[in-house]
Amino acid sequence: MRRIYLSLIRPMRIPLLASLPEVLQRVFSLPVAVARSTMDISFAFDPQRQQYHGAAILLRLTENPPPDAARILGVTEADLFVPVFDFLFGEAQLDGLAAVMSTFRLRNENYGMPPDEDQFAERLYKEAIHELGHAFGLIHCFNPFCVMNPSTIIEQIDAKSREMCRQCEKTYEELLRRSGG
Amino acid sequence: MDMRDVSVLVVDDELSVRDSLFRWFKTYGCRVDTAADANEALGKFGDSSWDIVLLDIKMPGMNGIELQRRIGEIDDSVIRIMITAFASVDTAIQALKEGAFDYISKPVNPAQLDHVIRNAVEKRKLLAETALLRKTVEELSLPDEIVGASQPIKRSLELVAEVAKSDATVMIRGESGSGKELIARAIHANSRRKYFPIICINCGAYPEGLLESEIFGHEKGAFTGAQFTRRGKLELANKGTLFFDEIGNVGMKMQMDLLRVLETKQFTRLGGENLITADFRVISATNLDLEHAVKEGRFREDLYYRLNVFTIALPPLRDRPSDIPLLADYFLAKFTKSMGKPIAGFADEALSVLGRYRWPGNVRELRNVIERAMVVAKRDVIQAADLSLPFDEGGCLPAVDSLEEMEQLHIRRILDKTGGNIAQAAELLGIERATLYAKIKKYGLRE
Repeated sequence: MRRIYLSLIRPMRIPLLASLPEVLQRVFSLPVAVARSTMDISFAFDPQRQQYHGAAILLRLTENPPPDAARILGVTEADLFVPVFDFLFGEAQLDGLAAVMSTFRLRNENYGMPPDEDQFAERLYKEAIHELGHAFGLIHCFNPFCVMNPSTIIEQIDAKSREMCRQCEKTYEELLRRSGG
Repeated sequence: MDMRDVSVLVVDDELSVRDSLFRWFKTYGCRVDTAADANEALGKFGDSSWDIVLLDIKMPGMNGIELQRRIGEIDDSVIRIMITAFASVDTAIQALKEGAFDYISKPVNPAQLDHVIRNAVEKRKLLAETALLRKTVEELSLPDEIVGASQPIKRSLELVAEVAKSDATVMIRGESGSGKELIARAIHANSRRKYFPIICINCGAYPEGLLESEIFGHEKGAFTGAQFTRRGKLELANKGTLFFDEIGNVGMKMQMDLLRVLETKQFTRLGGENLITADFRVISATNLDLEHAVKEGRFREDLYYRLNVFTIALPPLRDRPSDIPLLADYFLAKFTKSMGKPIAGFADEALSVLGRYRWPGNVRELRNVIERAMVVAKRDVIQAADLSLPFDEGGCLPAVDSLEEMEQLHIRRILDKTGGNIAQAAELLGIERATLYAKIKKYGLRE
């Protein structure tokens, strides 16, 4: 059976991800495995911007994928960018193999607030589901509570739920059925 | 906001920028394409239409400013958003002055881009809705055109064309319903005053005191109930046209006041002291014999000559029977659209009935008869029975051949007369109620 692979990208604190596979498995109805080795993304570092090139990491994730990979989600604590944008919470190949997300801007500390691990975990789940949703072919949804609602600021991530709306859920099931699981 | 039906063209000479924006818009479900320079972008306009174009200001060859201008020339409704480096914000502002919708600075903040795009889509949607509504309103609210190919109506239209060029005072004569207001509007629409209002006053619709206030306006406290200052029709018609309908119904005092205004174009509001000057053209209309009223002293002779500088006499509909089918088709097309009821035309018998009727209410009556027939019609062609013309009251017998059709018409007329009361209608017709019910069912006279 095909599965979703979580690829840990340095720097990444592994314990944070402990509950993520279970959450993703429930939403996407596919088994989730954590890749054994972590990826070094120093190649994607832009010294001028002091950020990592998200599109370059996406490409690297698709090189030599596990044969049973349905999708691969790279998770990093590094701050991501793609040219023209100043930052991104994450990026995905729409209806492609890979997605990548950063936890860098999901932490309260980034906004001058005290740390809140529960809130951080909730944001991490939402962003992971959102980017994987794109990789499975889902586009943005304008239901404000749907996890596929676009988020360009942290408040938008907090405002939505980590569930897909009925319509996105139906679309996902259809996309999954067509791609043979 | 669903963006799946939005199309976006990204124009930037940097491949990485084009790719990033392409992927970004793809996640919104937009139709998106990219172009590396102005020529390629203009080529894309040949193949397709675009709702939103994002263009980099600095590009080799034709720059973004010039490109946005060219796109505006091709289709002004395309939303153009400039992408600019911080250093060239002044240039972006110049683009805004030339029609660009907004600009975003590099590096682009996703929230800012999201905001600008949402605004752009909203504007595009509103523009499309406005255009659609305007078209619908224009079509539905267009005043009826003057339709006809007969010699008398052609002559009237020639006079309209002739007098519209001048600023002469016009008097339109004609029976009720013959289209006097349409002629007044046609004169106004073809005159140099067409971009200013035409103000219509139905002089027969107001008691004298009220008419005075309508025409001259009033100051606050001018009379009991005058709680606010109100501008009158004379002021509202400034630079436009003032149309006095049923001028023959104006009382003697008002005639004197009007004469003074028409001579000086100056007046004061009721209860006011300030002398107001207005520039307007006067068109009046009447169905009365004004010459007779002058002889009897009911209409001032000086006002009559002041108003009757150029006369257009409208023929009654019965004097131009060849126009009846044209008018009937015109109203049929108009109501088909507004009612959304696809009726293809008239049965021969129906046209014959229309042609033989004398139309005492002229074109207005014809319009009403067609509208009613469209409502009651049960087939895709209007039948003689649908017209419900009062054929025994100053008209003529409808030209139907069969006894059945005649019976159908007669029953409909009696039902109209009794307001749908079956018992009364059966008594008048001299038949049993059950028989009447059977006939109503047979002819489909009621739902």
